Parts: sequence; C-alpha cells; structure tokens
Amino acid sequence: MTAGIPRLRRFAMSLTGNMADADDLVQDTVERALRNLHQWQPDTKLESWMFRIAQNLWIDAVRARKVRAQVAADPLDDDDVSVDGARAMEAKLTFADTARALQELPEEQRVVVSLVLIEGVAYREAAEILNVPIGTVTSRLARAREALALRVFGKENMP
Amino acid sequence: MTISDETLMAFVDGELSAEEMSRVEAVLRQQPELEAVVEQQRALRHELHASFDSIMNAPLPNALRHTAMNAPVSLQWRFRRALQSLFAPRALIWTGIPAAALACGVVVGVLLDGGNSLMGTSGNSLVARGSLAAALNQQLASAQATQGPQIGISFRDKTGRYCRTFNASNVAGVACRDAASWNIAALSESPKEPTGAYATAGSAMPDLVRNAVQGMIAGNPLDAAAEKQARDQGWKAQ
Repeated sequence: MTAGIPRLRRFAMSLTGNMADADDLVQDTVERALRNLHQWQPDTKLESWMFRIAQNLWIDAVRARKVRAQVAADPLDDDDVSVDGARAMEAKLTFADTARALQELPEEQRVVVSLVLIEGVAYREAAEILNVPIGTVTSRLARAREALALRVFGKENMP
Repeated sequence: MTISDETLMAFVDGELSAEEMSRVEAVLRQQPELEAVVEQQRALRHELHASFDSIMNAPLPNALRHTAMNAPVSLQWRFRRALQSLFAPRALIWTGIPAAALACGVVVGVLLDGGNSLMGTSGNSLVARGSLAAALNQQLASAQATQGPQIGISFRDKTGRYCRTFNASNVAGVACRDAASWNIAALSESPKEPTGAYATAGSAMPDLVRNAVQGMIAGNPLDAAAEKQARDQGWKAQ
C-alpha cells in the first residue's frame, strides 16, 4: 500500500511505453480520481479503482490517437516513411527488448500483462478492474504470454 | 495426467489452491517439457520487472505531488488519507492516526529514529514522546532550540485544545494537547532545509501541515505572550 503512486506510475509506464505519457496519464488519473471521489466505494481498494481509471483514460487516448492518425494519413506522401524508420530504429536501440515486445501487443492484452505479471494483481481483481469476465482475463493473458515469450526468447528457444 | 495451459499459467501466477498446486507439482516432476514452460514464464515475469521496476524509485513529478497534496480539504477525510498514504513514505499520515498505520514507513521511521523515540502509541493514537514531548511542553517559539525538535506556531483548535506545529528529525507535523499527552494530528516528511541566507531554522512547513493547521485553527495563532501563558498553565484546554 505504501507504494501506491509509484505503482500507478509503473502501470502507466507499461501501458504508454514512455515516461512523459506515463506521467501525463498518472496526473490525469489522480485529477479524475479527486473529481469523481463520490464514485469510490471506501470498502474497495483505492489502488484498484485508480488502475481502472488509468486504463480507461489510456484506452480513450489510444482510440482518439487512432482516429487522428487516420484523418492525418496522406497516402501520397511517402517522405515520412524514412523518418518513421529512423524513429523506430532509435526506439529499438533505447528500449529494452522485453518492454518493446510488450508495446507491440494489442492494448487489451498489454493491460492484462501489466496488471497480472507486473503489478501482481490477482485474476479476479484484474477482471474487476477491466470490467470483463475472469475467463477473458485468463485467455488474453495466455495469448499475450505466448506472443511475449516468442519475441523475448526467440522461436528456437520455445519449449 | 494432463494439465491445461490455463491451469499451468495459473500455477505460475500463484492462483491455484494448495491442493491444485501439489497436483501440478507432481505432474511437472514427470514432464520436464512442462517444467521448461513454467521456467520460461517465470523468466518472462522477471524480465518484465527488470524493465519497469526502476520507475518505482524515481522521484515523483512536482505537478503530481502538488495535485494530490492540495486536494480540497472538503474531500472525505478517508479518501484523503488513503490517497495521501499512497504517497508514503514521503507524505502525510492523517489525523487520528490508527495503530494500523504504523505499518507505514514514515511512522516507523520516526519511531525508530536513532533509537531515540520521538513518538509512541497510546491506545489507537500516536503521541509525542521523549525530546519531542519535552519541546512541545516547554519550548517557546521565540526561543528556538538549535538542536532537536523545533516548534513553529501555537494555536487553539476548534475544540479549544492547544496545538503546536513542529519539525523534528526528518518529519514535520501538528500535535494537539489532550489531558495527558500531545496527540499527533498530522505528520509529513520535512521539506528540504531552506538554504537562503535569511531562512530561519524550523520555519519550513510542508503544504500538508499548513493545510492541516488551516483546517483546525480557531482564530489566529497565539502571540508570544499568549503562548507563554498557555505553557505556564500546562496547555490546559479552555
């Protein structure tokens, strides 16, 4: 319990993949939590409630970003490709393999990995945070794990 | 005997009952290829932690700290306390500190400070002890000690009790005088020592302590004469 905000930050970092976005997300989460205090049930864990807020805000942000990207995309303009290539390379060089592999997962799988494997949240609690059945948690987790192990350890090392 | 993938993963995640655990363990002993899957998943968890754990010790952004610490006083105190406890050990342990909060680092740190206990528990509350209790009893704000706990301001709270702010060791707080002892009403990590040439020792007051005082105070802080008189009369509530 003593590490609540640092944990929220770690969770945000694993969702967003970079410190700046993570801190923006934590800031928004804390602000929203303060505004929506009346929705918090004091008999439930504050941390879980804030994880839930954080993940909802993040999913909203990702959706908004995708819409913006679609609107902005110009099929005739190929110049950006090289820039993106360089950027991707840079990202590869600065980001640990495992963290990068996590970023490549679909959002819905990544959030389950973040909660269960990094934050150590129980399946049931993860299901409550994400508002999905527990079976959805275990199946997303299984798919995510397989994909992660493949990327991190390599095909030849799969048992 | 076979084990489903989901059961195996639940085993790795510690989600199985003791009975199921031992069943899986028995199967793993006979099937090294399953054991390898388990090992790999443990390694994966380890890798993920290695990638993200460093953030746990990174300093919090000031904007974030400011937002949480300056949440309106009107917020339900339970929420406020819970939120602030999330920031521990740097943050405040709020009013009427329950014994359960002793698990929190800041209080334990104070209790163990140099083996010279500044606070202790009395029933369900945290009370001043030792040099802190002595300073609260005797020290006048006008005669600052150069060593040990320092007193900031003295005031009366809305129930008529005398309360005093203090800096001691690495914490700052507010203590209020009950019949027998000084109850710690608010406690926070001390801000960094002011370094300016005109900074007065002991003058630094964390926002949380200032907010606590604002929420508690009735009227104005005591002036030097009133403070001395209150002390000489044993800080009896009026």
